[in-house]
Amino acid sequence: MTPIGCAAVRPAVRWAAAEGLDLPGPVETHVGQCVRCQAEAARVRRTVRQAADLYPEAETPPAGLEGAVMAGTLEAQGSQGGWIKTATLLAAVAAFGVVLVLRRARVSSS
Amino acid sequence: MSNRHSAQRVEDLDERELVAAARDGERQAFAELVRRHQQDVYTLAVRLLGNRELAADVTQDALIRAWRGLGSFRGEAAFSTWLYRITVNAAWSARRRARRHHAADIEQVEHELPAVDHVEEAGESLGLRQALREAMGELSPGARTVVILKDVYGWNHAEIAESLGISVTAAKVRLHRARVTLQRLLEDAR
Repeated sequence: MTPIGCAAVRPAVRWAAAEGLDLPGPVETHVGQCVRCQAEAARVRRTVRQAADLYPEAETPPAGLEGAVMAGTLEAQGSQGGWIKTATLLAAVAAFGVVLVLRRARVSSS
Repeated sequence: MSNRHSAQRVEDLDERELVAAARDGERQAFAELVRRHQQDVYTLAVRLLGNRELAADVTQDALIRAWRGLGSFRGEAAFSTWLYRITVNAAWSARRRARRHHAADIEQVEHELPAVDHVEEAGESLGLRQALREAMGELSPGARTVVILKDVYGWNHAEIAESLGISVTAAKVRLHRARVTLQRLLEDAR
């Protein structure tokens, strides 16, 4: 069997190290014997661990944010109310139109 | 506020009750949800965008979208998870708008490094952390987003894909490329 080279397994080694996955057999065999790939895997794991702690501090929102959000929800309610009114009006017009058509149909059949 | 919760202060309601009340249109309940979540939403926005002013706009936008979309929240995920997804979406929209209007000078957020207790680790840990923060700042917005969501917030690939409107495969590819770039930036910095 042709031995696997570092370049061929490098993407899989990086992905498995970052995601905490097991490697497929032949790749695992190669890594077990290759210090460079082991070092690469360790580097990736260290980077992912550091990334998890990269931003330990929470940010403080600016003052007035809550007020601005609640003002925005009033606007949102207003615009939603407008849509509902328009839809109700259209439905009423459509219903009136159906009634007219039915009346005419009744008149012409009689 | 409706009579159902008038006897109870909103501060005493648990999240499930607050969400239910807000869905019924109770603004005080939603205001309490805003108070409880605005810091987390704002923090996520700052980390994604690297700009506090833009992050404040995105936070406001995300919370208003949440108010509008409460009817579609089914409670399958935690409310915070649902809110974070809206925030990622809002951040993405804001970045697209900013690019269109050529608001090119998005400043990098400078954070003070937290104290490291273990003396022996201090040097290496601080150095790597600083290098990592600088490297993250050099990533493209798309690359930084996936790394932050996966490695900082611990989202799974499906959650990332859904938030960004891409396939799971595309999310994995984007993440892999981002990590490769990050590794290269770190090596170049040494």
